[in-house]
Amino acid sequence: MENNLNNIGKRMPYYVPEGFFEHMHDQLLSTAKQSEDKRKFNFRYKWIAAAVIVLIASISFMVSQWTGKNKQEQAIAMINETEYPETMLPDEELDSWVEFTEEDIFINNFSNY
Amino acid sequence: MELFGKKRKKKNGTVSLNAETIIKVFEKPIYWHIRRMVVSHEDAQDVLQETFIRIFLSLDTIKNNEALKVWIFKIATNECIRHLKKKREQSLSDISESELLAERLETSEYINLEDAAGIRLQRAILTLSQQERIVFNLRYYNEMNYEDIQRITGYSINVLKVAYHHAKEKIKQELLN
Repeated sequence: MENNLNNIGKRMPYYVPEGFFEHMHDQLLSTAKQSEDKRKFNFRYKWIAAAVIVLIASISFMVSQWTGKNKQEQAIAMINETEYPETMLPDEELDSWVEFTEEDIFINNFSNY
Repeated sequence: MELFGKKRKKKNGTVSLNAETIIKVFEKPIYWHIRRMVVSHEDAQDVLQETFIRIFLSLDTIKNNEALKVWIFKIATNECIRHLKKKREQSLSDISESELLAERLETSEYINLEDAAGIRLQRAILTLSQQERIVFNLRYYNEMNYEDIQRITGYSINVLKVAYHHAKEKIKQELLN
């Protein structure tokens, strides 16, 4: 195998059209330039996208804070505005409560403490 | 990495590579590596373009110039594999990759059919499996050491040594036949 390979060496039956590598060189340089422009665009685009996301997040946060505060104030206002009806006990029931408290040993005895 | 900036000499003496330098240094070795894998000049041209697109798009990921050669050959090898897989899928028959490439050797343009010895050797190399062919080409034609081939292929050094030995034996048999 070594003798055979020594005879053949590293030559190959392949060849290229005339001027191929020169033409390819220019083509690859153009490709490199396009890739560079694409990378720069992507870099800028990512920063812009990040800034927009931060802005939207900030606005959303501020809106949620404002609506939350508003809701709280509304709830308080509702409570203040609500009129609770005053219930009046009939006289007989009032009298029975008075009698009960007078006879209640716990109230009478512990009130002295 | 700025692709079109001026070449700057770093403090440790290495030169910062730009696109023009990379193309100048690697265009031919990469083309021939690809050509040995895909046989056809038209296919090699397409794969070469794809390879350099990938190189330029991800050049920032390379940390030092010493690893550049291995990294570029790795990209080129992967592009060859991708291309051959696509060709096999596009082929309407159940032809194997070796048979497909052997057919290309007979019919493609820019092949010197009068170079009988060269044709015999390439035909013998094309009987190898894809992995064996990659290892053989990188070792025999590019004279790469096993450590670099390991970084390119991902196989262990022992596996590479066995693959190269096996490839040589197969080629020997083919040449004797």
